Amino acid sequence: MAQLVSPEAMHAEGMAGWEDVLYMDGLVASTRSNPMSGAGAATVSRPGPEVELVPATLGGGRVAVIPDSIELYEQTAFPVLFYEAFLMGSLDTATAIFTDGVAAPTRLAGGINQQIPLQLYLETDTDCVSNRTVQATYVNEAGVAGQLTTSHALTVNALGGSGGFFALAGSDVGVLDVTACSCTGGTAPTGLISLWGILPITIVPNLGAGTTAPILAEGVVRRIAAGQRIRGMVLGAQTLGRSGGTIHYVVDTV
Amino acid sequence: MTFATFKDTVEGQRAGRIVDTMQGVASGATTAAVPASGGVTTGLLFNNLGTTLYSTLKGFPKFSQMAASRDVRLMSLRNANTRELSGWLCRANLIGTLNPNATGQRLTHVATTYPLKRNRRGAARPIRGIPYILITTTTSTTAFALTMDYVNQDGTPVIGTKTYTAPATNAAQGTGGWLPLEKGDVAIQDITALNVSVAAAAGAANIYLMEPIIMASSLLTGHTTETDGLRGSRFVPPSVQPPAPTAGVLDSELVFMYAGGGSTNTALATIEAVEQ
Amino acid sequence: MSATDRPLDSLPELMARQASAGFYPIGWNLRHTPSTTTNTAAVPAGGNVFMALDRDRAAPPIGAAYRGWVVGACRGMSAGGHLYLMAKFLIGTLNFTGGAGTYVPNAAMPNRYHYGRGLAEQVIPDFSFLRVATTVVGAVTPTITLPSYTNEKAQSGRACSMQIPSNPVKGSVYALDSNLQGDDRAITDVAAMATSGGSAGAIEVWGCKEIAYEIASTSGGAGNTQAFQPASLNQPIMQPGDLYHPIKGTITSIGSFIQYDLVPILL
Repeated sequence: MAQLVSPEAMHAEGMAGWEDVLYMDGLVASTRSNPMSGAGAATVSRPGPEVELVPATLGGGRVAVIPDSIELYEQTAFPVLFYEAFLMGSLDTATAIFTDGVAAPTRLAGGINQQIPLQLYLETDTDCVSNRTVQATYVNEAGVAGQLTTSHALTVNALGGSGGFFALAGSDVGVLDVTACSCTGGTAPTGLISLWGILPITIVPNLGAGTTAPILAEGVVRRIAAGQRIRGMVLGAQTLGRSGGTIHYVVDTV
Repeated sequence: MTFATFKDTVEGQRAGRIVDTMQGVASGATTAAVPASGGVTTGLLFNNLGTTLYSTLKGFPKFSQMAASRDVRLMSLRNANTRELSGWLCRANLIGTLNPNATGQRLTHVATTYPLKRNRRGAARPIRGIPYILITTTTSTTAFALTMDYVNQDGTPVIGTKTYTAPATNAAQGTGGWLPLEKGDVAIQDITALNVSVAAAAGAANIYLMEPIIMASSLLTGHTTETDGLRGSRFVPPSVQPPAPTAGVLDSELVFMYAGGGSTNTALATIEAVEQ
Repeated sequence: MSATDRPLDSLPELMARQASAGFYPIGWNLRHTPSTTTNTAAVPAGGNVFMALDRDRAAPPIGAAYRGWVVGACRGMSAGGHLYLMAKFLIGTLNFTGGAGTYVPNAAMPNRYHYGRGLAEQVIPDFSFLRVATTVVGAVTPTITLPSYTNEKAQSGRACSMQIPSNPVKGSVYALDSNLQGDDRAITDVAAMATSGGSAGAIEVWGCKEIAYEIASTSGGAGNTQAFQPASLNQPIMQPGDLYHPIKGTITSIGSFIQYDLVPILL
């Protein structure tokens, strides 16, 4: 079967029942902080809605979904970045032990299979305060290993769900793999930190009122694999807010 | 017959069209939410016909208690509210009622057997939705608090640890809320218990699995929002018939859910659908 | 083939290209180092301000059946001002060595196929920038002179000059466009360049082609670019190694994020 390559084909497949939605939900009960420091202004952000996993088993031997619409409710009136999320590692600040995760994915891009470099995002899973310094070692977009991010001093009172982008070394623009992450200093409480690789889907403009983003009609074409995690991130603000909504998709025929 | 093409769907309206109106009943002022009560100020909008707030609640009449075996798709929706609010056309699927006037497990689940199902991805699969509480009798004296045990989006039973606290001591009739989920969960298939830890002296609530059909926000008071189910944001008109219960009879109404404001709100709407 | 290969023209064509070849999705958190640049109202009086990032992003490798990349869907977020995604080409560098300085030419604006056109043609910049590559030292409101440049009509020997602030820091950007000779719209090559003073530092001449842009209000960054059809309907088809660079319409570093899909174009 050829893949779906038109709105008409999306329609036919959806009307035959090969559609569903992914639910999303999030509650940030109080303003988060920016845990990162470093030269230059950092893009202020916080985690947005969590999204239901793309089902691991789509049915009929199918392997990917094509999202066409994001219906977003996010109280904080700032844009929301939706992205495929890759857990590149995690850090236990109690023991300073880094547990490696996955590398950046290899995708068909421009007719060849190539690894797609990701932006690297630090996110506290639990309250994780007090003067720790974190620095990741990574492979850059050109495949050069042993690159070091800025040594980021995590600020005090970084509540769980605080996040910020790592500043990459020199002229680097992306991360193919995180091979280590050091954590020094700090006092109680300890906590867990996730290192997320960001592969963008789209940014949804959001005025704090319910927003419908017709992403496929706007030219955002994605085939998201079964089992893939999608997440949301508020860009430009860290204030509290509730979020919810759905991402509608049609299951691709291959 | 399954409509395969846009042409099929458009032409199917000659014989298969369903048009209905909502001339809404005013909701009354609702109580604003705080983070402990889910963080979103919300309510539901019902049709004037057949509704007695807040005991008998009806939505679009032709879609009220429609058979789940029918395949009915939203072609277009036009709605206006008396408030500027985020909003969705929703299926309000009744899970049960809550009596928060004593501690302990206080959910009375309807006889309907969950999960509810729709034909999705080649099979009848459980639907997911938002766990919704609608205050039907004003509470008093104490803002009740509870935790929720539920079946999550994956079908896994969960013992909830997050506390939902009613937004005020006297939470007004019509006040809605999104009950909190555990970290990592985003939706429910069912609610199995509501464990009241702090009781109110009075009050009652309906508990729903709220299934958003399509977003239909009212961004300007009185301005009509037009939603195209066929060639708007998505290319597959969404299903508006109710989901099918595993067993029993399901109380399911097609209504509006709004978010963001607490003042009296009324919906006016027309829906056009086509039956495959 | 390129003249008829237009996958951006319709959604079915875009979906077919994604299925057959795959897009290259890019996300880019923009952190400016240093955090501010130098640009005063004197240069020029009331003039528009710009700021460069501290790094480029190269177009990635591509399969043998494809000529290069164009930008499809593109969105950005910025806390205020303009945010441009540019195709950037280095024309030359003026090194401040005392006196008039030393100019080192790099290359004229290259020839590239453009979307929907069947032959390689010179990329004509939309902006011609002076960009401070190394902080300048010992220069009091220097006048930068280009006594011999080539314009968009391939006319050489054109001349212009521009006064810039004292000792501008790395990352400062000044647009030459309103200072060009006569009705010239762009600089495609620079044969000579000099300064009126300065003992150290370096300033590059960039030819930048705007591919997509966003305008964000200062009140809160509900910013987004148009998607599907980027602002430039005549994008150069970028070769692997060609450089993308985001330019902002501010002088204060503001957190920004840009994401765009690269769509491959067949030979």
